[in-house]
Amino acid sequence: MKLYEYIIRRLILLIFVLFAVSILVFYFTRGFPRGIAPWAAYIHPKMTAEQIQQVIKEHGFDRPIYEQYFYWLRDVLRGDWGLTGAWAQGKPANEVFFNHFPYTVELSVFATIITVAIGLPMGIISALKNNKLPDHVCRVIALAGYSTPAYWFGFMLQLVFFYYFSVWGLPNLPSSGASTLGKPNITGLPILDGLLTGNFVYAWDEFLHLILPSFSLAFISLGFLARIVRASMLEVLRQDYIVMARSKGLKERVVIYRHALKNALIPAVTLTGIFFANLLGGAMITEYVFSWPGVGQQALRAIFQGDSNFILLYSLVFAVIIVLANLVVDVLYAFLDPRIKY
Amino acid sequence: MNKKAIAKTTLMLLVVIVILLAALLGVTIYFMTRQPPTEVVTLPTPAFVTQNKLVYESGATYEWLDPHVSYYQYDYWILWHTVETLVWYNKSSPVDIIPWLAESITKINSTTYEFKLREGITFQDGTPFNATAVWFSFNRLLIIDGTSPTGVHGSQAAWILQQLVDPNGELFTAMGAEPTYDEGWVKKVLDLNFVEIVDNYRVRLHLKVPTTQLMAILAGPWAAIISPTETVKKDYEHHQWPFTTEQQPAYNYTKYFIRMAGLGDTYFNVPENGWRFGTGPYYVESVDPTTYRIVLKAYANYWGGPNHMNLPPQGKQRIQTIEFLYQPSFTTRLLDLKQGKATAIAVAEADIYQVVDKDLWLNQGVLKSIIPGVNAYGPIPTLNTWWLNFITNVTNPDGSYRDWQPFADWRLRMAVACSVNMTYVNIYVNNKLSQLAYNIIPPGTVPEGSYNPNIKPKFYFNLTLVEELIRDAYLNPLKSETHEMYFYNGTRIPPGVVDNTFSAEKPRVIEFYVQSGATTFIQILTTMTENLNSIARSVTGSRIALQFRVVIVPGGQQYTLASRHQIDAYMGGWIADYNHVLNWLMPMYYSRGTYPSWNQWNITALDNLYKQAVEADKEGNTTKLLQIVDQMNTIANDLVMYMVWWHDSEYYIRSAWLQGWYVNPVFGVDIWSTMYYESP
Repeated sequence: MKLYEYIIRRLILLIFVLFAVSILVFYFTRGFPRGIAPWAAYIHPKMTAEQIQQVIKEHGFDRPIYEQYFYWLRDVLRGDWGLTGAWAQGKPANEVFFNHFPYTVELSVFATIITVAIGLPMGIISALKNNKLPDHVCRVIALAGYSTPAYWFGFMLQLVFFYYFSVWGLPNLPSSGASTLGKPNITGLPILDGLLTGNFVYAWDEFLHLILPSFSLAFISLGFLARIVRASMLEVLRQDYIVMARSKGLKERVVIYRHALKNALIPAVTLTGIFFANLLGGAMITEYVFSWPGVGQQALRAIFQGDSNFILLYSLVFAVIIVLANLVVDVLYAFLDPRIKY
Repeated sequence: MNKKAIAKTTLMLLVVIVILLAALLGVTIYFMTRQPPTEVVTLPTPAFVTQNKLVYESGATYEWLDPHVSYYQYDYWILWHTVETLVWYNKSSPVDIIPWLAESITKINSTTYEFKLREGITFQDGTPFNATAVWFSFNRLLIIDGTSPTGVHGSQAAWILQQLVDPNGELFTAMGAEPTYDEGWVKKVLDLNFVEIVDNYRVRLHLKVPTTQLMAILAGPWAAIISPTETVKKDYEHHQWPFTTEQQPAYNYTKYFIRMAGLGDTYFNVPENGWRFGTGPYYVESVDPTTYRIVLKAYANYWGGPNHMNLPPQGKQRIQTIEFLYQPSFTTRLLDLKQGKATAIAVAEADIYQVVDKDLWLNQGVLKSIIPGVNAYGPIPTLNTWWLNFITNVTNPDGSYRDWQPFADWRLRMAVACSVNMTYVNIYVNNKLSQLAYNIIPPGTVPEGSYNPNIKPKFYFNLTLVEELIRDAYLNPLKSETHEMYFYNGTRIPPGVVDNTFSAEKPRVIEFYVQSGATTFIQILTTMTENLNSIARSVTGSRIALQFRVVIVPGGQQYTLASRHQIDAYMGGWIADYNHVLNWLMPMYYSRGTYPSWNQWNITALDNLYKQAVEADKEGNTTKLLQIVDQMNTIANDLVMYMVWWHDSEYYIRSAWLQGWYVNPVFGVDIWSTMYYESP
């Protein structure tokens, strides 16, 4: 099978995945446990009983749950994702989502950078110092990373770098929130917009606000990445061609960086894409702790308010992101490793 | 470079991380093992003091900031700093209403009041406060007609004023009319002549019915007086209406009203670029709909309130900026308060003992902060009551009438109400943070005497009685065939429709709905269900014959289901819109009021008494009104119409730097315009 055929096949599969996700989420938000009035966001106290009935009929709210799904699907295909409740001032769900989404993207990008910047060297050093002290240290860090609850680690970071740094009279990092020194008005990504508009103070302040939440978010994935790089590196270092390279008298640096690392990084590079997608979707708790105005925090509020329209949109967008990230990773794999064929 | 050297290089990269984590580990171990601090942690002067701003953090966010649209406690807090009313409360008094923007009030006759307005006051946009502004503001409230952009609250606060001018429900939706919002309707509203301009600084308010509620109603945020020019300009911009054509060279407020009729979508709901349309001590600088941050700035030309009572004492500097921040995590809020980033934070009752000394409170009733540099104020009783509702006519989701109507049966209501020791739970579950309720009316309600602790509940903790009641209900089940039962509309329920039989062959379930996050309520209801289930098992000899359950649902869902009468019982609460007993009698006891209509209670005696109470209010006969209130409370208690729990109090956690603190309990908010910073 050619690569483009594979991509098309996966994209077709994506439709089925989304279909399945939407059915599940639809059922859980609209049909379980029972009866949040889904038309509540659409009606107005001024509406007459006939007008309310019209709204209910138009969106199929009076139909059985399986029929309601198709009404919802029809509305979505027309670009109508429904309205939110008072928690988001009744704005269209997609407007609320895309107002906050850039903040989550920014957070995830930084978390991914931290993951790679720390996880990668940790993995390499673990492999090179296999079963020696540095390896053990890295193992402890990695294990701590993926076994520490995100909210607890977030609080610890706030306690040390915000509170105690203040007590000690050291420059401290902001505990929560985003920068208030400007507004993202071009791309929606605050740092990028700060740089593009020349508002460097805003960009810098936003960067400072990002440090704690992005490190907190990255702490889980960097442990995973380190372990994967270590395993991959160890495997490569045992390959014949590495032995051959050494026996040819190549310098160890060349052996490691030119021959071993290149191949050992293949799984790491591909996994980074998955990490990024997971970080995007998994930022909910971090955003809550740090009051980061991303879309995860909004999803949490929507869940507490039983706002099915927003939860459906949130779930579907992240389903698309995860599926696409997997596809990109698979394709990337084929490019990086010529042995892989689809 | 050999393998060793490479390892060394990469090791360098790890040093930082290791140090970081070691520090973290050290701090954690330190906190886990340390003894209670013996010395006070000294922090530098907080940033909010040096910047002279007040930062308030809470997990709440605004809904609508237009005072004529808003109907939400948190919005009101922000509004009280920015807008003012003709009359308001004398500092922390919940009953003493004094002239505010008005200079004096004269009662011309039973339905006409003349307000002499203060001169020399300007709105934040620089325009003068005068009679036209009063006429404009009240008519705008009436003409928007209780709408909000989504209508999530049902009818908005406009009904509070509308009841004074449309008692028969001829014009306004909340009063029962079905208006068409056209030019003719606007003319009819203006023709009510609610506000008559006598001269530039004198207005007369014409009511359709006399009432003693007037001043309390006019002291609410919905009665805020706003700048007509700023309002019209901003709303025209917001809707992209032709401002120049319709409002220039002179403003035409009638045209504006025609456009705004029945329209709750106003610029002022989410004023991203701020507003300057009030006379209050602060104006809104900005509202960020992404971060929910609201910034207020001191209005330099603020008149100061009556006798300058709404400003700090002479010689003390006003706080220049107020920031309302959204911070959902309590732990982060607390850290911000300790560090000096936040001046004030919201603390839920469940978290109060992370801030105040629990033993001192429980044993001595003293509320003392355990955090250096932080003060705890309270408890301040607010006009609020919590209770368990019983729905007497439950319908199925398809709208059909359910044959199982447990709470149509007094015995089961009484059994449920007697299944828990409320005195005990208030101390040990609720940590004594509320005052037990005897009836639905909270202390402090106007007129004085409305709160009568002698009208005690019928129920009391008695598990033997619970057993007797359940046994009786089991052996002699309520049936429409053998008992006289009525639908909510007053018609008799035919035989065969209701059959409250429960047995192993015909198992039944009773569900108590409560919203997620209400941990205290959940805990108490769970205790009740444990007691009730145990007794039901022993009475029926079956585990399934009669089961009680707690159902936890997202906020709001229980009300949606309750309003459609689809659940057995649910937790309810009410905070007075304005401080007057009629604001309790209507929603709690009158059959068309909120809770009786949801719970399907239609008690003729209560309806008659309510009508008599309204008449007594019209006559200004307080003695008679209070007698009626007592009678209504007695009937409701005898029927176990509600299982009344308690009246909440408020607690305020503020930096010790904030001086001159006070709160008004009617709206449960502290007003920061009078406060200032001083070293504690």
